[in-house]
Amino acid sequence: MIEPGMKPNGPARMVTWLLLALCAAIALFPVLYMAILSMQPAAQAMNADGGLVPGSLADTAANYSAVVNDDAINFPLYFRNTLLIAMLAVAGVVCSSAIAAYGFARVRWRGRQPLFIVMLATMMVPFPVVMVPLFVLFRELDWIGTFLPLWVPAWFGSAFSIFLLRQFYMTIPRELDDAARIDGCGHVGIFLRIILPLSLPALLVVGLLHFMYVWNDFLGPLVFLTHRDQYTLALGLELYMSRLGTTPWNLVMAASTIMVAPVLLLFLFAQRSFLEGISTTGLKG
Amino acid sequence: MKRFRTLTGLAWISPWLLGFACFTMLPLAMGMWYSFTDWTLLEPAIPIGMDNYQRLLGDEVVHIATWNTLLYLVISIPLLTVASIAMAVLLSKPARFQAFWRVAVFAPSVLPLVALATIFKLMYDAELGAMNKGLSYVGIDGPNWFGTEAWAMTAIILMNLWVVGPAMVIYLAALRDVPRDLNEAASLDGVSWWGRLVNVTLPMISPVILFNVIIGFINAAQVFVVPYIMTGGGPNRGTYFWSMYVYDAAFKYGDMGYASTLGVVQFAAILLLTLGLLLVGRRYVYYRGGMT
Amino acid sequence: MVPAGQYHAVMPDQLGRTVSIVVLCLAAAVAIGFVTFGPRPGTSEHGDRIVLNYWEKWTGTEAQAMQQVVDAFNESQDRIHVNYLTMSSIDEKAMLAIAGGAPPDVLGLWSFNLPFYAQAEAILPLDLPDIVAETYAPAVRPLVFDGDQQLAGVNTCSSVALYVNLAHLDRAGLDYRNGGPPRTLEQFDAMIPHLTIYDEDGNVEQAGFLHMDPGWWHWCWPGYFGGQLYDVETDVATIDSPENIAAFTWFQQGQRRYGLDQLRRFQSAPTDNPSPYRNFLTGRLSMTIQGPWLARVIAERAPDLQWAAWPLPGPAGEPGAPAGPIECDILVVPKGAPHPEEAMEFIAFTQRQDMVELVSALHAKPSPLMEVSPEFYFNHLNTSIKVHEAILHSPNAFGTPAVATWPEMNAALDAGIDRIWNGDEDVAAVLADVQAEVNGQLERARVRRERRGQERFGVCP
Repeated sequence: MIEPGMKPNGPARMVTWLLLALCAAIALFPVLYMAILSMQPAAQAMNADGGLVPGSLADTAANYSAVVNDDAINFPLYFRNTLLIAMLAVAGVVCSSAIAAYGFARVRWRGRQPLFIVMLATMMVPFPVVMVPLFVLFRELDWIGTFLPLWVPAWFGSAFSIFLLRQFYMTIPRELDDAARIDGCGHVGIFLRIILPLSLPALLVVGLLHFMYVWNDFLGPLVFLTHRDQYTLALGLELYMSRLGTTPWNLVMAASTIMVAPVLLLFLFAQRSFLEGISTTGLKG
Repeated sequence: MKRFRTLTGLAWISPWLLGFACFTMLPLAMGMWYSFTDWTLLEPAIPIGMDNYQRLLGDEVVHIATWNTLLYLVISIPLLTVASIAMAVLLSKPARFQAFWRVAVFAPSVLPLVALATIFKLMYDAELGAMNKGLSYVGIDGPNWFGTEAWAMTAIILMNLWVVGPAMVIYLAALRDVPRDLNEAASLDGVSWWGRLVNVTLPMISPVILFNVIIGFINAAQVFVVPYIMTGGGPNRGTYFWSMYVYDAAFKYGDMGYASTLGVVQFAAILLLTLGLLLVGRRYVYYRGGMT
Repeated sequence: MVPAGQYHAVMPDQLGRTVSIVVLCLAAAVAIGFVTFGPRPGTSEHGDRIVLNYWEKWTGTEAQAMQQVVDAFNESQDRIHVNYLTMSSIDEKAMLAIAGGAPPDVLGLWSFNLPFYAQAEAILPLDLPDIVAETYAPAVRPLVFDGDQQLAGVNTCSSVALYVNLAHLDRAGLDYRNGGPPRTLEQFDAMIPHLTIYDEDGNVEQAGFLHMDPGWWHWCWPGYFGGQLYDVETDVATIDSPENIAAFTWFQQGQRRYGLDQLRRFQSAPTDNPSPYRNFLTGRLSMTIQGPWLARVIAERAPDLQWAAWPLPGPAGEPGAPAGPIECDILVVPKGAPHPEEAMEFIAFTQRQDMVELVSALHAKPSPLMEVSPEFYFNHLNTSIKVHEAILHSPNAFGTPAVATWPEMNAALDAGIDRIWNGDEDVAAVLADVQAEVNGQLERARVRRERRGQERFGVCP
């Protein structure tokens, strides 16, 4: 958006550029700090005057191998657990939300609007409110201490994903539906032949966003997982950090980097989709 | 025909409907039931009427948690709103490497809060932390961030500024939709850049502002992970928020009934305040195409 | 409606799209491969042994010590295999696990957790052959026994003593070799100004004694003055009793001696030895109260330090019967444990005298048992172990209040301590507030017990 009256060159541009650089530097500083600290030897990292120069390659390798080979805390296992839960959850969310969104977007039926509003309202329910009853519910099902509470609910759709997909479906021209209907397709046919293929980008966004959500989730695993073998990276990181005695910050940062890297890489790779996906939810539908 | 369509509609949304019933309605109802009981989770729940609610009204810790949560809301939401709008305005101007700036500013929001809180815990460390080191370069004696209530709360609020990403992106999209001719007309009339921002741009995106404020409010009211990792609720309960009391009551003190009561009150408060925000929105928000 | 322009913007161009899809598929394939063939939760390579899960709070050297006991048990028989697992925030996670119906078989807690777990009936009473209350030191017995019923095994125990840097005392000209350790609190207080050194900016370079370093036993100050936080007989909080006011006034003096600004600067000075023990280890603090494990830490990290441990001379102590706080690391079997009998067998094994002494020696702690073999003292890591033992066996030793609402009470106490130390408020007023809050907690607990017809923990029949 070019502001009218703004000169394309000159001081305004410089100021903008400087501000942008400053903001980007501030925003990225924690990530860089984490990465650099994870590459320093302990003496340097724990020293207040250690500075921000990464250590040698050997130091970096030593840190990361210490984290990965820690005998008390099994990060590779936690990585695997988190990955497993995330994939199961993402598969579930994508399938169920696509189906539910179709019901909200394409089928004209009474009760569609009120139920949609109800669905939006569920985004307002704070987790601590349902945390205890869910805990009890899952206990009755004997699911506490398993992965099930963390991915099964995803197979029933998530309000956010359904919302996003509904908005997207509504941009697909109805003429395509009509054409398919003339060819003899019912709703299922339209869904599979027209809507689904055209909405792949949106499905990708839904998958990515939910993957990020599950990967980063802390309170859920904290409450529903008991056995240390099942921990996710979020719990493993917290466990690693709260050992009695010293906190080896270089190692903790290495562990953090291991947890952060996949999601950050995914984001960098699909950032345009991420950003577009988030922005579509903000606009009134 | 109509009834058939209703059934079809319901069939299509059945995955969500089932999940809604089991994982939202049922727990909410259970929570409400348990809020009227005395329950340790290891034995059957005993109904005790309004006792939990009465206790809640007089509970000093509830007062502290409410105060902390409200303080946090009142300070951080306007701050976040201003920051994210400012960032969006900044990023909407054409500039070299625009995509890179956007990605850079959005990146921290992608990180797990656990990791971010861990990093910030180190950054705020009075001895080793980058915060105080940076301040010392400018000649300021950095405070002991986790030593007093005020500074600890400040630390947590400041940390939020790093996760403006999602809100900022939504504002970016909204800014793109502001009709250019309005701004052109205003500048032709001699309105300054600031005047244009306040009188044209902001009202144009006010529905989106309301949306983000509501979402921000709902998230902020549930804050848990960051204080849990960074301060543990201290010092002297200075960063002890409502959600932490729910967690403690349930799993530290074994008082599930009271934890449910706290949860129900939290939900009701969020609901009421959201409605309040929507009502305020009616007055101040300008809907371009009329009310949707 | 999202305008058509937006819809197109979400569709990347064809080539980019193909590349994206290929990369994502590859990533998904790698992920699936990793999940299927990668690390798995520990499968039992223990044949047909029953596998017990043992959650414990220790890491590092202390964990290794306990692992030796675990290994000894695993080797001594072939029906049971015990898995040692380190946990953080173990009291929180344990409650979650028990409530969730998926607890471990053996749980390592602290003695101050016991009343809460016992009252909630979250642990099973122990039936250990050959072990009675008299097996343990007198101060330890009430911590693990409820009347005649043993609720927990004792892993290790510790008492808290005053650790002093002898070089500092020598430098200050304090004569402890002839006079002995300070016998009264006044003598102790008089030592502190001699041990405080200021640098040229007027900041504290060396502090004599800091009550908040390490600040792990806020509940202990009343005991030194003969007061108690809670009266077991009457189930009433006695937080604002005269002894407690005296205790916390003395505690506040410790802050006022230096002032909050000085203290903050003292604590934020940079160091490259970050740990809770750093001030004492680096010689910035002359005296501190600590548990016996400090000897091991000193040996590992500051072997040149000349130190000794003395009892802190609180008014409640007498010659030969010093006052001091006691704590134990205990072993319990949670309710719902998959294999309770085997768990108790393991706990019984850990209570053997040789096993107890093995762990205690490696942790540099005293032995919780009445009978101690003479070899225990040979080469004991803590040269002042006799001091810790004297406190442990002293009639003036004290533990945390034996009350089931201890977690809540402790939270209230912590908040009060903050107000007294950091807020510099009037001690009597703060203690009165804390008393009111805690009495409220106790009243609620009473009501809850009545509802269930439960007996109060700690009441001997």
